[in-house]
Amino acid sequence: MEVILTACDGSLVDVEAIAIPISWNGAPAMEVVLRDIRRRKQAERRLRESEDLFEKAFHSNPAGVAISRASDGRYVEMNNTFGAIIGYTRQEVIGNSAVGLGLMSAGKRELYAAELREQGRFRDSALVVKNRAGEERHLLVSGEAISFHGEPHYVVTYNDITENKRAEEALRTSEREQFEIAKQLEIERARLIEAQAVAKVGSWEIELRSLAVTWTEQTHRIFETDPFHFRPKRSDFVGLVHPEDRRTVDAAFRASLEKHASSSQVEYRIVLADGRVKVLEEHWKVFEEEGHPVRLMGTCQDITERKRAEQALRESQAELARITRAVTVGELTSSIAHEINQPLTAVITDVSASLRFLDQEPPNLQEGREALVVAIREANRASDVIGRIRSLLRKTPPAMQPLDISGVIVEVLLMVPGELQTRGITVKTELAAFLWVLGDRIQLQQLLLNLILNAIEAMSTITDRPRNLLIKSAELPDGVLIQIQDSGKGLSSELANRIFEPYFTTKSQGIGMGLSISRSIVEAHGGRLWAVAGSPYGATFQFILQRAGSPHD
Amino acid sequence: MIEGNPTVFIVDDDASVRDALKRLLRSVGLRCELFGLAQEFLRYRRPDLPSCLVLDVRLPGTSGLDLQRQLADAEIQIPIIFITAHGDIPMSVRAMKAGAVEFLPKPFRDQDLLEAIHIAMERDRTRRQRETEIAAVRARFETLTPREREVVAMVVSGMPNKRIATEIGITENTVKVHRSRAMDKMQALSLADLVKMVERLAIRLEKAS
Repeated sequence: MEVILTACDGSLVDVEAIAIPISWNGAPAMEVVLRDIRRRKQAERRLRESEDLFEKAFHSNPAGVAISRASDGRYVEMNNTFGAIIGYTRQEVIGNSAVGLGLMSAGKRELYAAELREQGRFRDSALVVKNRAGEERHLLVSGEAISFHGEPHYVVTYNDITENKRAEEALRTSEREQFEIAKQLEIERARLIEAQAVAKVGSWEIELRSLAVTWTEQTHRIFETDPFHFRPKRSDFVGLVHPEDRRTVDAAFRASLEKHASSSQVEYRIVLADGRVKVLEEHWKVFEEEGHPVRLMGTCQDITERKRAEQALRESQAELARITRAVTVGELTSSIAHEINQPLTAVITDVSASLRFLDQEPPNLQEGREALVVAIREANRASDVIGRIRSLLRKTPPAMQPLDISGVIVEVLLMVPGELQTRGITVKTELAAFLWVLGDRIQLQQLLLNLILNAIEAMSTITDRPRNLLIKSAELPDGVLIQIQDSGKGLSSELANRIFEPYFTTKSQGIGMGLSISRSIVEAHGGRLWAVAGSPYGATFQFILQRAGSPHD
Repeated sequence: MIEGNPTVFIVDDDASVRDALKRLLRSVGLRCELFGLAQEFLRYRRPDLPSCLVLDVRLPGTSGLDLQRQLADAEIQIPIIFITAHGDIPMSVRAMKAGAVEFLPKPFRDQDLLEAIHIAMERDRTRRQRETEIAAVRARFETLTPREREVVAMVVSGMPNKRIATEIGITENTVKVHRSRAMDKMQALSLADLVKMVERLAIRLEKAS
């Protein structure tokens, strides 16, 4: 029997005690032999521990492990993982074979067996088995020939890579998809670049947190910066903006951020390294997250050419207007010459008379003086006429200022008394006092002159009724209405629209620009001009201008 | 012959110009009458005095050139000085061809106008004088008997007495008597004088026909 004794030093000692019955002096006695079995015990404990360890390692191995007899392939041992992989219980597996369980064909097994017999092992062979549920499991199989209880056995480990495989597959699919997407994106990007180049529209993005700025190629092209070396920063951008426009641009961006404006735009100039100036137009949107602006995305368009064309158009229009004005003036030359020469004649004659009175013996001072007073008055009249004509002919850009439109109407009427008188036209005015509009005096004079001359001409052939010209100005809730009404031949409703077309004319001498220019003048003032046929005769040309506050307010 | 106060008629639609002209003419002692329209002038009963017309071309209603034509049509012979603030060459040529004294573009020098008025007045005076003379010659001519007129007509056409006698069928002496009486009645100092008188009459008669 094994017993534990306490040694003299207090330590415990495993001993084997064997009692042998003996005869001691004729009397039965027991001889006890004690054998120190501490070593053996220790070895036994170690073995037990090792077995425990092995057991644990064997069963908790993430790879499936099964041991089968080499002779018939029957399983003698397996771990839980193996069971989990193939879906069979221990009871079902032990004593059965892989072929029996339908995991592989006999031929396949023989191939592995042959490998093990000849090489003693194989490594990482890919194997697809069907588990109990019929699902395919992708395995990496390694085998080793061992001797177990003196008999050849095979230890085979199964690494289930089904999930990896699946993940790999998924990865491959997603990679392909990503590749496709990337390809598509590349195509889209190329298209965008092309479209941006064609439209001369670049786009940009600013991340407000990082202040990272992204420009498209076209944006770089517009700013004439190198997309590979120039990384735009806010300061770089500001540096490119024309100094005079920096404030405008800054204010526009700030306003869009402060007002959370969904879309904003600004037009400004940039100055390139070589001093060239481009005009750009930007549209952008502020994108918000949780109520805070996080990103600006916008487009940038080079409108230099458009601006230049617009400018050229404006200039040619202004030039044309001036020519038309000159033509109108040419038509009016006799009238104007008359207007100037009449007072001049009076002045010269009065002064001559005065000299003659003063030269008399004795000098007729009273008559001489009277003649001079009249001469001064007439000289001023001449000067006024010249002033009006000069303003009519001056080639100046439009200058908007608050004007009393009723006053302008009176000024224009003062230019045409000859026309009105010789054609026997009665003028009536119903003018509201001090109607302030924001406008260019000369352009509005020209506009009114055109309309009044048209009215005069429309009445020149009328003989069976009075030739009446009525000019009205009135205040509207949101503007100022001016009407020029004649008792002339009138116009059809079809004509009422066509007459505003350029080069359309009903006059034998006309070039068809008068009303077209008149309309562009009104539209340049933010108003509109139209014609209404009178009943039963006559026509009314009317236009609305925006009101302006009185300059004295 | 004693003339009345010469008068300048002024037709201009601009009151300032009218008044200035009146003042100028007053400074040189000329009488004038002012009109704003051609029609006003036509309606005006002009006194029988030496006169001229200072006429603006561009007038409301009847223009200056129209008035010139109407006066000519009515055989009213008044020298016209045109003034205009917007005259062109064709217009002035037309006016001058129609017998205008002067065509002055406004503004003009006072001397130019006064000179033109002077010329016009002289022309009118000459015309009036000639008309007076013709009227006198005509009156004398009308005192001649038919036979005397017949003889005078032949005399001024250069026929000798003998030939006249043969033409009419009277004696040469009778022709001499008729001729002498006609010379007396016509107050002709010489044959040449008589020829001149008859020529003037003939012109006047031709013009009237």
